[in-house]
Amino acid sequence: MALTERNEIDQIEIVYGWNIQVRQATIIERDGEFVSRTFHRWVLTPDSDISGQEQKVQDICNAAWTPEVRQAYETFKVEQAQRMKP
Amino acid sequence: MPAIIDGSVGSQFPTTIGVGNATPSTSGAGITFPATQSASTDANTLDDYEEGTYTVTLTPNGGSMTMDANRQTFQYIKIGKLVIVQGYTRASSVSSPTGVVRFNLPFTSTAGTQFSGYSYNVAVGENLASGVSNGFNCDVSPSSSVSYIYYTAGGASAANWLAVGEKFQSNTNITVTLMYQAA
Repeated sequence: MALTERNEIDQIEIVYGWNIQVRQATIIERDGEFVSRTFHRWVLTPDSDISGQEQKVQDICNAAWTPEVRQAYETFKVEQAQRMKP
Repeated sequence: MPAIIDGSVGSQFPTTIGVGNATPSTSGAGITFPATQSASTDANTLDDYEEGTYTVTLTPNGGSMTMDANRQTFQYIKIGKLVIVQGYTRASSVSSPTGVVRFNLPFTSTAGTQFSGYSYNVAVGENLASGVSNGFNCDVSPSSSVSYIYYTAGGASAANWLAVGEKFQSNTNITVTLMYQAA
């Protein structure tokens, strides 16, 4: 009886243009049969360091974050900052 | 025990029901949703359930904070569009933090209409610099993947919102409970 554990990025979503939602599934199997799955998530934005991300995540970020999207994100951040006191 | 589906008395399932072609979980009894949500536009349809964790980072507007790697995991539950987050985290060291302090969320918040995308939640701080109570607000803005921590003095209007960054010091702890709608 062998238990194995593997991690895989099983979901990448682009939300409102600049938010890249990533989900990693940790899957436990016994002799190749599914036992359990847990999730870990993160959200990337154009100011995130994506150098440590899997290549497919980097590819989607780089495709989604066009100059126009990056500009829209910067505008969004300024609007948020103006609402909050420094 | 077989499933019983009888329109006259209701239905009974001994184990788990898979919807959206999801493979029913072999653990316990309940409803298994697809791993990838099949979103319904119907306001009366529950179309998603997910439990998980994420790694939280506190970021001040100015200066910096180093997180305690042993207290950096928050957990979430997503029920339909409703996201519930809870956790306890610690800035193990700080370097001249200023301004509001933000932390990341597991899902982007809804844009909403007019101002309905905003939500207002709570956090409790421990081991803070003097001159501040330990009750904070956590604000989630529309279309956002972060929440801002601040506190109020003398009233709830924006004019009384005060930055909390200066109150963080080494080993300041933050306990958070928040709820918001995802996009």
